[in-house]
Amino acid sequence: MPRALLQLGFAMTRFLAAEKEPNKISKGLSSIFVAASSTAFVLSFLIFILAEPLAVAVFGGADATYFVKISAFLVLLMTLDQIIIEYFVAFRQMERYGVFAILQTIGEVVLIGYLVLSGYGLFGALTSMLVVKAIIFAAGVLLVGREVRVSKPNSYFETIFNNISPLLNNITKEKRHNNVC
Amino acid sequence: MTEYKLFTQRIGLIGIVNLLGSLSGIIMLPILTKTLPIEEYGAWNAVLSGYGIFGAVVAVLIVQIITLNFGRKAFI
Repeated sequence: MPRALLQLGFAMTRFLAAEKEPNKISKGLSSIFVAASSTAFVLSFLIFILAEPLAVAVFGGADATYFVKISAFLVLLMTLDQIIIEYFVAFRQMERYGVFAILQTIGEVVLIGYLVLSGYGLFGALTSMLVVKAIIFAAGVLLVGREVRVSKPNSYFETIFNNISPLLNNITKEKRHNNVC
Repeated sequence: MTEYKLFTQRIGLIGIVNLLGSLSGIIMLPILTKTLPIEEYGAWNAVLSGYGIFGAVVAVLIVQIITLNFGRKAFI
């Protein structure tokens, strides 16, 4: 799970899965979406701003700056994608979860394979990942938007954070699996 | 009985999805290692595994700010 999600995926399953009132679901989902996307945005912004020093430190040269800049967008999109996936898990829409996960996997394999084999190299691979994630997110938003209406995050946000705060410390202990920040 | 059947079907679906996800690595690995130079393949792995330390540091900072503002009651 991306770190920028702040373990709020668990919060969604814990608090919203059993909720029957559409109003509470929409407020809870909006709160989680705002919290996670703001964190992801801050993180992406920092990576984007610090792209050059990061490129020198991680990749050993300023030539890789644009890879870092692309991956800043990847951080944001991965977190947003994960919110959609967690929504499907929380509300037991496993068929949709399955379709989304398979489409994402197939899309990435086909597009990355095609662009890399066409000679676009790492730039092609990163761009195709971005494109697939953007498409998946757009499709997810369309699906979720039909079921949950957008509302202002409110005091429910505080309830979620009060109860999820012990889990937040697990962020540092997460395994390095599928965790682009 | 229908509930158990549905439950089993969902578990099976998740199993297949995860299996396909793992298989994608087997397909991608030879394509990437054959096509990309060593430096670019290293960069690809670095991007995928995330700027682990950087991400963790920023996330922890944000978490501390959130916990100070919202999570006080949980610790008292």
